[in-house]
Amino acid sequence: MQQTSEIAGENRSWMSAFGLVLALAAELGGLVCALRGEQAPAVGLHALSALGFGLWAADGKVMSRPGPFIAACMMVFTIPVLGALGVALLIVPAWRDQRPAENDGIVEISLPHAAAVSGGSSAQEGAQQVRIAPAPIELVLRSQGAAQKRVASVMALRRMDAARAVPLLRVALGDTHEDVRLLAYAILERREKELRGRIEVLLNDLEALQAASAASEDKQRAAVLKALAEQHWELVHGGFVSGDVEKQTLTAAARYGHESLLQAQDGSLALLLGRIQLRACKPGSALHYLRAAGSLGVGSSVLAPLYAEAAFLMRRFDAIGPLLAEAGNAPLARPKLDAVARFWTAREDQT
Amino acid sequence: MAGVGFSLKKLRDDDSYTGLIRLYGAAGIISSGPWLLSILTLLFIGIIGRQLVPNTVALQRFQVSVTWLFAASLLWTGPLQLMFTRFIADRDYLGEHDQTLPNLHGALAVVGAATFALAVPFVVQFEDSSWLFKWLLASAFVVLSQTWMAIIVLTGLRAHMHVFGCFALGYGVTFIGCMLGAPYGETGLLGGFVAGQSALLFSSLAVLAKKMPAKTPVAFRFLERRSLFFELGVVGLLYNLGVWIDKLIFWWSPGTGQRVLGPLYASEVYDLPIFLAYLTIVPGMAVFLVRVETDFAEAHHAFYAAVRNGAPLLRLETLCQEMTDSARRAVVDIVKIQGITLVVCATVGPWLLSVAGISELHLPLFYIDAAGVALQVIMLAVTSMFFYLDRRRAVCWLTGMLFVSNASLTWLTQRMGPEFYGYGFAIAMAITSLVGLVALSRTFQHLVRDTFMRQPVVS
Amino acid sequence: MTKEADIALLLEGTYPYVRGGVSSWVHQIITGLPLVTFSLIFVGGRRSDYGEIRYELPKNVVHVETHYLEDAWKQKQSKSSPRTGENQFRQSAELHEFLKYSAGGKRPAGVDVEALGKTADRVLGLLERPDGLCLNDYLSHPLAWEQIRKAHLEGDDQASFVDYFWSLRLMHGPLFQLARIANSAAPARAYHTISTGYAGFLGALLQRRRQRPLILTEHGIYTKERRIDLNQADWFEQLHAGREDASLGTTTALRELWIRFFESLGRLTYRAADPIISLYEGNRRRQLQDGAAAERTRVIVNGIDPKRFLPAFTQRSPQVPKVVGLIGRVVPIKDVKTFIRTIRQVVSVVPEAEGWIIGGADEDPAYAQECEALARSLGIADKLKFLGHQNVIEILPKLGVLMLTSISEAQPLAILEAFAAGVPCVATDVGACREQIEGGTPQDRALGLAGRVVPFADADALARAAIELLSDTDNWHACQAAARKRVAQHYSQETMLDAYMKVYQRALEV
Repeated sequence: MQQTSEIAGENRSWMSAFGLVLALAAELGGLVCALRGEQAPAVGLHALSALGFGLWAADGKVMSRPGPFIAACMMVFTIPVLGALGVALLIVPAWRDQRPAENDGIVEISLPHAAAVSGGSSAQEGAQQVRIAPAPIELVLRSQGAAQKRVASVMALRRMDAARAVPLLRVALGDTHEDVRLLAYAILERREKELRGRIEVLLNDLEALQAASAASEDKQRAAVLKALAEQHWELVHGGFVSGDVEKQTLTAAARYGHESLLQAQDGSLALLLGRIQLRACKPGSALHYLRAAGSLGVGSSVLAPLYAEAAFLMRRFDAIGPLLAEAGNAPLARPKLDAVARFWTAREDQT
Repeated sequence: MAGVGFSLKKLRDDDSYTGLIRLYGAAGIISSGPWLLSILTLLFIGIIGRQLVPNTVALQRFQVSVTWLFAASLLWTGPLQLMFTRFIADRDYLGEHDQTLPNLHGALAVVGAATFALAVPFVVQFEDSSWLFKWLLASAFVVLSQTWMAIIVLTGLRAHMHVFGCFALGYGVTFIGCMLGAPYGETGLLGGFVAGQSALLFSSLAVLAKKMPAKTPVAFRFLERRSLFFELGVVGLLYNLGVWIDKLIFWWSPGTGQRVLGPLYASEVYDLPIFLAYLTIVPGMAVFLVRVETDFAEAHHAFYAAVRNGAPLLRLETLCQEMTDSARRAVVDIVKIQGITLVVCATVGPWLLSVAGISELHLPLFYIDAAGVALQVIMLAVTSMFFYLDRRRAVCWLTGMLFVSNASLTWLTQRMGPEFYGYGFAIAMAITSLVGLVALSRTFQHLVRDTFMRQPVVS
Repeated sequence: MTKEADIALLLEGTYPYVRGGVSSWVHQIITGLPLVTFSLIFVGGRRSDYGEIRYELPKNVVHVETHYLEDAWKQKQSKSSPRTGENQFRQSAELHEFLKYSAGGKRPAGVDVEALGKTADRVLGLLERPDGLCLNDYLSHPLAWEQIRKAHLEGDDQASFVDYFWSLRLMHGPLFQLARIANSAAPARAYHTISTGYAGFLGALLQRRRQRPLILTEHGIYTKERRIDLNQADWFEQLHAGREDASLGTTTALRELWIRFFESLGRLTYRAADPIISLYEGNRRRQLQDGAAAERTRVIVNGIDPKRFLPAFTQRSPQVPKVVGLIGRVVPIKDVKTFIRTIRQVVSVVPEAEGWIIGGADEDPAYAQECEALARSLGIADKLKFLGHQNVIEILPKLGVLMLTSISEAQPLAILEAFAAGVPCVATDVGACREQIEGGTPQDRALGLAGRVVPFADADALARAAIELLSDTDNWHACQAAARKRVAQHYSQETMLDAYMKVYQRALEV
C-alpha cells in the first residue's frame, strides 16, 4: 500500500519536519508559561504543539491521512507534556515501524503429482490417503450382486490418484447396474474437465508471460511449461485420449517439457520426458532424457525399469535382465514391476 | 481467540498439589493483578503521602478525585468497550488481524476528543481549584478512558503478562510521581497520577504496536453501523451503572454523602468497607479465570467446532453436556471459594481492621459488602457465559435487572436505616445472579436444538 | 375469476420456458387436442435460470401460472398456529414411516402400511392449511426438532449432523412452497403431471385437496436424472474441501438422503395418480419397481406425424451427406463431449465429414464453453459446428446420420423425427433407443435395423458405427427404409393422441 511505503521510506516531507520542530518549541514554551502561571499563553502554545505533532505524525499530509493527525493531536493536547513525550518517543515511532500485514502474494497452485515422479506418494491430491488398497476395489467392481458395494467403491475412487483410479473407473463404466455406470462416468468426466481446465489456465499464463521477457520471468515460464507437460501427460496416462489424439498430446507434452528443460535443469522433468518418449515409442530420445535425469540426481533404481523398457523397445533383450536386477529392491508398491523383474532375471539365470 | 495461553493450560494439566497452587496463583495474578496493583498503590500513596502533604484535605481531595475518575471513566467508556471488543473479535474470526491496531488508534482518537469535550464543562465547576488542577483532572479523565480501551484489546489478545507489566510500570510511576508531587498538594498528587496513567497507556500502546501487524496507523472502521452491536453498548452502560449505582446513591444522599471537592461527593460511612470488600474477590476471580475463561471456553470452542465440522448428533450432545458440566463446576467453585473467603474474613477481619487503624464500626457493612461482592463474581461468570453463547439479549435483561434492583433496593435500605446499609447491593446481586443462573440453565438445556433451529435461512 | 380449465398441466422445468423433447411433446398434445382446454402450472427452481416463454401458446391454453421454488425461503412465512402440536407432528411422523416401509424395507410386526398410507394422504391435506403444518413450524417448532433428531439417530447416526440438518431444510422448504401453490392454483377438472418429483408432489397435493383425478406421464425417470445431477454436483466436493475430518461416509449418506427424498416424492405421486403412463415397456417396469401399482400403469408411445416430415424426406439429395448431427440441448446429460470426441475419430477416417450440434447452448453456458474448448484442443474446431436451435424440417435433409450420445434418455423425439425424414441413427444404449433403432415387438424387429446402438461414453464404438453408416451406402439405405417403416407403423401421432383423448375423457367423467 502506498501509505506503507511512505512510512517506510526515508524521505519525509519538509512539512512533517517543520511540524516536529514547531511542536517541540511550542511545548517547551507552553511549559515555561505554565510554570510562570500564565494560563492563556500556556494553553495556546500547548494547542499549537498538538497541531505540530499531528502534522509530524501524519507526515505532513493532513488531508489524505486525517487519522494519524487527529489521533496524535488528541493525545498531545489532552495530556500535558507527557502526551508529547509519549507520542514523540513511543507512538509515532511504533507507527513508522509497523510490519505490513503478510502479503497474500502468489498462491501456489497445487498441481497433481504426475505419476512420472518416483516415490509414488500422491501427496498432491489432498492429504487424504484412501485406506483401501486398489486390488480389493477391483475385485469388488468386477463382482456381481448388490450394487450398493460397487457404488461405494466407485465413490472411494474419487480420492485415489489418477494412475490407479482411472483404469478401475473404466471397468465400472461397463457395469450392469446403471447407478454404478453413471457415477463412474461422472467421476471420469470431472477429472478430464479439471485437467483440461488446468491446461487452459496454464496456456493463458504462458501467453501472459510470452509478452514479458524479463529474466525473472524465465523461471516462471519454465514452471508453467513444466506444468503443461505434466498435465498433457496426465491426459495420456489417464486414458482420456486415444488414437492420433494421443500422439498429438504426447508431442505437445514433449515440446513443452523440452522447452522447460532448456530453461531449468530439473531431474523430475527429465524423467517425465523420458516416460513421454517411451510412451511415444521413441526409445532413442527416451534414453537421452533418462541419462539427463540420471545426471541431475534421479536415482538409478528409479531409472532402471525405464531403461529396461527402452531396451525392450530397441529389441536389446539381453540388456533387460541386468537392468531390472538393479531395480530389484523396489518397494512393495510396485508388485507388477516385481513380477516382471522376476521373469526377466529368471531368464537371465537360465541362459 | 485462543485460551489463556499455553502457560496456564500447562499449569492446569499438572495435577499435583503444588501444580494446583501454581495454577491458581497465576490465575489470581492474571485476573486480579492489575486492579489490585492500582488499589494497593493508591492505598500506599494514602498512607505514605499523609506525611508528605501540606494538609490532609489535599489527600482526601485527591483520593475522592481518583475514585470519581475511575467511576466516571468506566461508566463513560463502558458501552464502547463492549462494542469494540466484539468488533475486534469479529475481525479476528474473519482473519483480518491487521484491523485491530488501526481501529484502536481510531477509537482512542474518538474517545479522547469526546472525553475531553465532556470533561471541560465538568471541570469548570471546581471553583476552588487551580486551573492546572482542572486541566490535570480533564487529562486524567481522558487518559483513563483511553487506557481502558487499550487494556481491553490487550486482554482480548490474552497478553496477560503484558497487561500486568504495563500496570506495574504505570503504577510504579504513579507512586513515584505522587511522592514527588505530594508537597504540592492535590495538584502535585494529581500530576503524579496523570504521569503514571500516561506511562501505562503509552506502554500498552507500544506493546500492541510491537505485537500486531497493521497496514495503516489509524482507521475508523469500527464506527460503521453494521460492525456495531448496540445491544452490547446498552449492556456496557447498564452493567457499569448497576455496579456503581449503590455507591452513587450513597454519595449523593444528604444523610450519607459529603461534598468534598467541586461537584465530587464521598461517603465516609460507605466507601471504606466496600473498598476493602473488593479486595476479597481475588480468589473468586482466579477461579473465574480458570473455570470460565479456560475450561468453559475450551468446552464451548469444542462444541461449536464440532458443529461446523460435521460431527454426528450424539457427539454434539455429549459436548454440550460437557459444556454444561463445566459451567456448573465454575459456579460451584466460585461459590465455594468465596464462601471460604467470607469465613476467613469473618475470622480475621476484626483483627486486620484494628491493625490497619480502621474503626470496628465498619465491620458489619464490610461483611455484607463482601457477600455482595462475591455474588458479583457469580454474576460476572453468568454474563461471561452468556456472552460466549452470544445471547446478547439475555445479558441486556440481566444487567437491566441489576441496575434497577440495585438502585431501588439501595434507596429503600437507605431509608430503612444504618443497620440495613449494604443490603441493597447484596440482595440486588443475589437476585440477579439467581435469575441469571436459572436462565443459563434453561439455555443449556436446549442449546443443541437452538443452535440449529434458530439459524436463519439465507437463500 | 379464472375459467376452470379441463386439464391443468403440471410442468417442472420444461414447457413453455425450455425447449426440448418433453416440451415439444407437451406442445404436440395441446395442439393435437384442440377441443380440450388446458391451463399450465409451471414450477421452476430459480428465476434466473429461465428466460421467456419459448413457444407460441395455442388458443386452448386458457391460463398460465409460473412459480419458482427458490421463493420458498423468500416469501413471508405464514404464522404458526398456536394449536399446532403433537397431533400434527405425529401424523407427519406416520407419513415418514409410510414412506420408509412402502419402499420395501423390513418392517416390524404389526405395522399396518395401508393405515399409514391413509395418514400420509391426510398429511398432504394438512400442509399450509389452518390447524395444519406450515414451514414456520418446520423451522422452529420444538417437535420438529425432535423428529429430525430421531430420524438422524435412527438413520446413519455417525454422519455429519449439520449437513443432514440443512439438507432436510433444503428439501422441505420447497414442499411447503408447493403446498402454498396448491392452495391458490387455478381450478381445473383434472390434473396431468409430466413428471414425478416436485411437480408430481404438487399433483398429489391437488388430487387430495380438490378430489380431482391425477394423471401421470413419465418421460425420463425423475429419480435417475436427479442421481445424475447429484453425481455431477460440485457442492458435494466443496462441502468437504475445508474440513479436517471430511468423511467419505458423509458424502455417501447425503447422496443417499437426496435419492431417497426423490424416491419418496415419486412414491407419493404414484399413490395419487391413475393412470400412470410411461413411454416404453422398460420404463414401465422401472415404475413398478419404484412402487407404482401395476394395474394403473400403461404404455403410450410417443408419436409423430410422418406427413409433416415428408418434405424433409423428399428434399434429400441422392448422395449421403457426410454430416453427423446431434439434435439436442448442449447440456451434460446429452454428453456432447463424447460427441465431440467421436467426431474427432470420424474425421480422421473420413476427412470431409462434419459434426453439427443442433440445439440451444444457453441452458448451461459453462458446459457449452467446455465443449468448444474441447473441440479446439482436439483440433476440430473447423469441423464442428454449433448451430443452435434450428427448424428440424430444414436441417434433417442435410444430415447423413443422427447421433445421440446421451447418458440418459426416455424416448427421444429426435430419433422419431429423423426416422420420418429418412435419417438413420446411431445412439447410446439408454432409455428406449434400442427399441427405436432395433425394434420392440418381434413384428417391429422384423423391419430391420434403423441404425446402430452402442454403449454409452464409448467414443470409439460411436465413431466406428458412424463411419460404417457413412461409408456403406447400401447399408445406409437399408437403415433408412427400416426407419421410415418403423415410424409409420409403430410411432404414429394419431395413435398417441387418440390414446390421450381417451385418458382425458375417462378422467373428466369422474
